[in-house]
Amino acid sequence: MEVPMAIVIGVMFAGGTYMILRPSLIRIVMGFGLYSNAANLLMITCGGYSRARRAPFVSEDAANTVLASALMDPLPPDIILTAIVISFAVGALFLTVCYRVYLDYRIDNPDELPQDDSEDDPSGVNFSGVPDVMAELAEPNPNAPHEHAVRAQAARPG
Amino acid sequence: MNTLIVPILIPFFTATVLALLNGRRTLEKAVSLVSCLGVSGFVFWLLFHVDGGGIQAMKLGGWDAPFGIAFVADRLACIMLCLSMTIGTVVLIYTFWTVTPRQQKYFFYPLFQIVLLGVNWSFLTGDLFNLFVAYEVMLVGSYGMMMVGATKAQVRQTMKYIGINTIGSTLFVVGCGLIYATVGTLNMADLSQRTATLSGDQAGLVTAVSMVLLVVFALKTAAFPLFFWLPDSYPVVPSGVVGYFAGLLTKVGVYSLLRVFVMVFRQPGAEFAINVLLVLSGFTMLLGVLGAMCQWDIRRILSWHIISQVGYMVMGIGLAANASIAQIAIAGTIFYVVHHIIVKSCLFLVGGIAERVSGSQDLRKMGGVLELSPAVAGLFLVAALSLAGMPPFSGFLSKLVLVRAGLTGGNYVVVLVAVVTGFLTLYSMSKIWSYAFWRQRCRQTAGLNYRGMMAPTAVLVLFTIVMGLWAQPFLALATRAAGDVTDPSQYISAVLGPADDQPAVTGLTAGEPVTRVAAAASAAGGTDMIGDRP
Repeated sequence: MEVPMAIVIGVMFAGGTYMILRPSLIRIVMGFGLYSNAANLLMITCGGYSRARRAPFVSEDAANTVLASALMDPLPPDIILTAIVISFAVGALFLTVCYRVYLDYRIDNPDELPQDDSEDDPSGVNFSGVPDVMAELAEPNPNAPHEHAVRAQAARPG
Repeated sequence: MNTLIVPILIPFFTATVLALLNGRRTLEKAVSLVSCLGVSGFVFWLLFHVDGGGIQAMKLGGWDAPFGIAFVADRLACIMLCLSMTIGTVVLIYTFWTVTPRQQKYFFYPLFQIVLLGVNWSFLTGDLFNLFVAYEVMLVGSYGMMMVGATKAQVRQTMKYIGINTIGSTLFVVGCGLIYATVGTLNMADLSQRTATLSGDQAGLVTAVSMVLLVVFALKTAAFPLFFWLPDSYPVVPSGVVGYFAGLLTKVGVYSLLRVFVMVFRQPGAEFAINVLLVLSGFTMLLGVLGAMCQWDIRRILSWHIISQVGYMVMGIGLAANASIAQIAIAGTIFYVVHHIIVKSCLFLVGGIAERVSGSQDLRKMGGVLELSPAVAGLFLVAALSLAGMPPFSGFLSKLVLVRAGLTGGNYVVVLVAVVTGFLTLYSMSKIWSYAFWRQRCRQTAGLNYRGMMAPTAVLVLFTIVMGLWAQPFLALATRAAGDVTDPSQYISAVLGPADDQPAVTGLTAGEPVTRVAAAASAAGGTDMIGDRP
């Protein structure tokens, strides 16, 4: 069982990589889907899947006890179950975020997204209402008195 | 000890309650503060309890250790928990001033609790696959946190961050699968015990498989060459919370490297991974600081410094290949982690205040913070000098321990890189200082209300001063914690029971782990085999 599974997993990883490298958001999401499925298949293969083995239920009746080597290992399917749930949730979130990016920019190619963050203030601090004195720094006035001189002048009585 | 799960359960319930309380802004803040303070108290009690009374383990659902999920608190895990909750509480108080109604409307506080939950969980778990689940919880929380408020830049950067981390998660599952196939267990104590007995081809196979996990953890740690995602994504995290992200999230990766590559993988040839880490650490330190030098955005500078600082911690792990200096090198790493988490969070918090005072986060537009608010400048100066490694602050001592370990072990090249990086860090910090703080002021009055934000920041500054001047208790604790990691016999007996009480190891080859499961099941009466993995 291992050789065909290895081929399938390899093809899925290759396909996933190809999709992730495409310049299209939706294909990237699908590529990640392929990745997580390939990882889950790998987990099944690692658990030693075989048709000759039974489901892992152990009878209370001592006479019915089967040899351990005749049972499937229950752990990998459990792990996969968790991994599937997680990858499904993250995949859904990722799809939503990609859709939001599409709504914001109306482009599907991530290479065309702007590189500069300065278009909007990500700090979440609202600076409206604060007087804007940035222009002063951009065009420093060489004739303006230095701050200390201004302060000294203000402190002088009269 | 069943209370071990408290640092995981309480943030979970708090997050649920906070989600229901959405809209009652003051109540939300009060509930999260009470929860954070409570859990902080608990984890400090746990640290003293574990330090005095030995490693504590908890078996979830009553399943014995190699089969069920174990939660383990050793000294290292407790130190990390204490840091997580301290920074969490400090950042939470800080956000009371920075959070906007819009952010709060979109579940800012519940998401913060989810991040805390994931981080605490990854420190406590004693199972490799459970660590993956903890990572995912932490990551999902951080995705939400990054996007809170959903500006265009936030959504765009979060998309990249999700993509990168999804690849990491996939590799984590692959790594878990391959390790399960080769060793037959995912419980860390059991893995540690079994890998120590491996030899020949089996050992080589486990070393090869462990490289997959090395990539996963290096990605999370932001070590060279997998650091590119960090300087883009951290600047969009909401102000304040970025301090928690900077302090804790990459350090979860460092913790995992420490736990897995020093404690768990002990097969012959396991030094290979550690030597790889030593080489990577040199590049990480140097490239991180060079990246910081050419930036102008204060958040980006500090984000690049996370990368270079992570290099020091990875260097400590890398030095552990030499058994004679392993304990002191790991102790240095742990001490460095403590120092770094405090100082880095503090710098991001001070940076946030400086942004408010001067009204910009671009160094070219900031200026005169020293004149506008000398107290803020003082806080920044202490934290920046500590980061660069100037005495008498904690940064000096943590670098000293690592450099001494490196010199004793004869790793002169990496020590040289570490010292050069220290100088360049000082250069980069003085750049922020002279542009944002020392320059002529660029506005007449300080913007917005910022004074309340200084109290939580001052607490962190106080920590770094105390850790520098009164280092011996901290270093002694770090050395004891390093002893737990370099010699895992206590960890193993705490999780699996005393050595003579453990079930015999029956199968070490691929496809045979089932033997052990069934043997234990029949020993336990063979009923109720439908166990639940996480």
